[in-house]
Amino acid sequence: MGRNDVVETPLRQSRFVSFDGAVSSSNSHQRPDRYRHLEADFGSRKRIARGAGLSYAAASFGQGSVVQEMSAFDRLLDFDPATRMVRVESGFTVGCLLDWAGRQGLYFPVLPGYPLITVGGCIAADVHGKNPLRDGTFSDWVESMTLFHPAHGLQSIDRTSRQELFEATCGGFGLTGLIVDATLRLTPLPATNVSIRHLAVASLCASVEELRGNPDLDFGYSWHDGAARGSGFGRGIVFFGTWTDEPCDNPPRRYRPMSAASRGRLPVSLWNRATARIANGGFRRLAIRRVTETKSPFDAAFPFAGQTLYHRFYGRPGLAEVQVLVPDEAVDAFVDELTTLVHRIDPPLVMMSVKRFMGRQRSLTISGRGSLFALDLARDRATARFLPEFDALMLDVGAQPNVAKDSRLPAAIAARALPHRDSFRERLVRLDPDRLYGSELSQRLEL
Amino acid sequence: MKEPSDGAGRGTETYLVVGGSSGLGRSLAERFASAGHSLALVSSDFRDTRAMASDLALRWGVSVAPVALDLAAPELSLAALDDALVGLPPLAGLLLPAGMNRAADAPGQDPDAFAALTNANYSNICRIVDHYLPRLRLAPNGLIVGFGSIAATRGRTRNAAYSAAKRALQSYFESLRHSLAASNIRVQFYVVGYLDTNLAFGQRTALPRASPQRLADCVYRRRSSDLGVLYYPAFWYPVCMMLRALPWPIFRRLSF
Repeated sequence: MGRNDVVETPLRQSRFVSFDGAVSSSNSHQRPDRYRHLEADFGSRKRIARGAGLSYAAASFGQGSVVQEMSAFDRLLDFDPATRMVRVESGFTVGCLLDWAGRQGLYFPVLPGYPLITVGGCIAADVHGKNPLRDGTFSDWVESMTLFHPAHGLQSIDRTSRQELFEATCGGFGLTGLIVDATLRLTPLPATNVSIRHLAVASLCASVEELRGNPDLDFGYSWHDGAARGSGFGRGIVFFGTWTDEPCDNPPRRYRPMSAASRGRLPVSLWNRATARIANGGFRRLAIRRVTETKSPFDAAFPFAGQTLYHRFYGRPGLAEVQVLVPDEAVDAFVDELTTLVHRIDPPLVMMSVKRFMGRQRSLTISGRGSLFALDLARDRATARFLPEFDALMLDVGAQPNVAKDSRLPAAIAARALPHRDSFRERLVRLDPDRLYGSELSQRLEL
Repeated sequence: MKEPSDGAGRGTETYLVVGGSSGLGRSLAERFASAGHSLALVSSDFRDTRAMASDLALRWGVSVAPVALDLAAPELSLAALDDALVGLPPLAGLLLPAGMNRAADAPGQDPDAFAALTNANYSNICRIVDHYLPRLRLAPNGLIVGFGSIAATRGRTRNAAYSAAKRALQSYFESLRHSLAASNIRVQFYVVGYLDTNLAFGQRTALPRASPQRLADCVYRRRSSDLGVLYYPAFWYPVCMMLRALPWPIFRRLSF
């Protein structure tokens, strides 16, 4: 009820699971709904913020940490139409952001693939959208933040006033403190809908070439059939999106929210080599038959919102996703080696995708320019054999892993592959000597 | 009495929500703002009230005045609230979901703690009603909504002062309804069971928790009904009646 209802901050014991279903933990759970709860005294106990809990890695919980779920901090705080700056609390979702901004004739260019993901989570994982080469990553569009740390209280930080703290927070997975709110830059909404062109390609390298040749398109990414082998390996579809005022082909899809728990409700995985081959073949044929389609900004930005079966089919055993940034000069070698590796081990690889990427952050996230390859696999013994060899391939070609996508990435691999990992760790020690913020991810990566 | 339709009074009347920054109060504020009503929001931490006010104004384009008041305080000054209401359309309703609870609320407690509980749950709520009653008499369809608790059904070891205050509040609302029966003001009192708010977070509850959003929607839809006392969710009515009917020798053995 009212502000006075709760004298002490209520905690309960809750079980959390990573979105990929691989990591779970029972933690003290706080659900703050007022500022005084953020300032609750947990002594020297570790704590970590939680947004929607949709990270593939266990970034928002971990053994011994108090999980601070920010779902009630989801309010619009300020908007300046002249500068197109909007200040929102960290629990504000990107779906709400797209919807509200659209009603003002504005748009936020970096939207991850699911509408329930929160702004705080986007900053913490420095997520990317549908053309990161052109638009950069989420943090590029953050002007300032309010960060809470028990030793410093609420602090306003931006790129100039607290540069080191600001940089470490963008892509810092919540380890610098609790992001309370953020001021985001919006852009004019280019048009009412998005026209998406489908282009069939025969290989991963062909996708990279097509995406390289169209760097300024509004949306640019590809899908590849992970179940195909032999000469068909890597066949797929490149999706090019441009804004249009043409009407949508279909009415908006019904949107049924999905959480990490609901994703894993099926007791077994329905994805295996056979089902993946059938589903991918059907999806590819449909995509080729329909050369262009016009979608609402919501359906274009969040393709998985109306179609959750893909993730639900992985069931309780979960999925393994790896995403790596491959430097331009190493793409051919990477694809050759990946092709060999997949044919040798034959893991239950369901799909792959490619985007062009440019990241500028200097924390725990991928940084630099190149092509971003993602692989989704069902979990079985072949996958367990495949992933360490994939790590070795990544190191061989100088690629970087996206730690938000990979819940089992070992510390030794991250230390060798991520360019700013060591400096990030040093910053953390400087900024938070007591290291009050921690998660399974920070423990596993030895941060 | 005229039945307002959904959104009637849009932009032309103000509702005062006491305890409007979290839980049920927040849901009520969101529901009334979404229907276009101006609001004055009260909570004891201005940071919370200001954030709610900004959000509702930006989302729904309504006028919202945030005010900080400590309902637990012995002396309640309503000057700041009066000032905030000056810039808003005329007051049409009071929604009073505020309350205060504490773990160590048992007979024999510290007098200041006892006073804080009775101030926040009873006397200062009544004081706000009394203060704004003259304004509500001027409204074409005035509304006063109070909120009690199923915890007040019978006195128990736990929640001693809280339950007593809530039961006193219910009695006060009955008097209020009686005295305003011939007026244009409707007086409603909801006896609320477990809600999915921070009040019940971390507690094991014997019966399911209701959604504060659904209760807020119910309050909004039924704002023109002369419903008197309503148990929410409705299954609490027979439960509470049974509890009340239990003979003392049985009741004294219960632990809940």
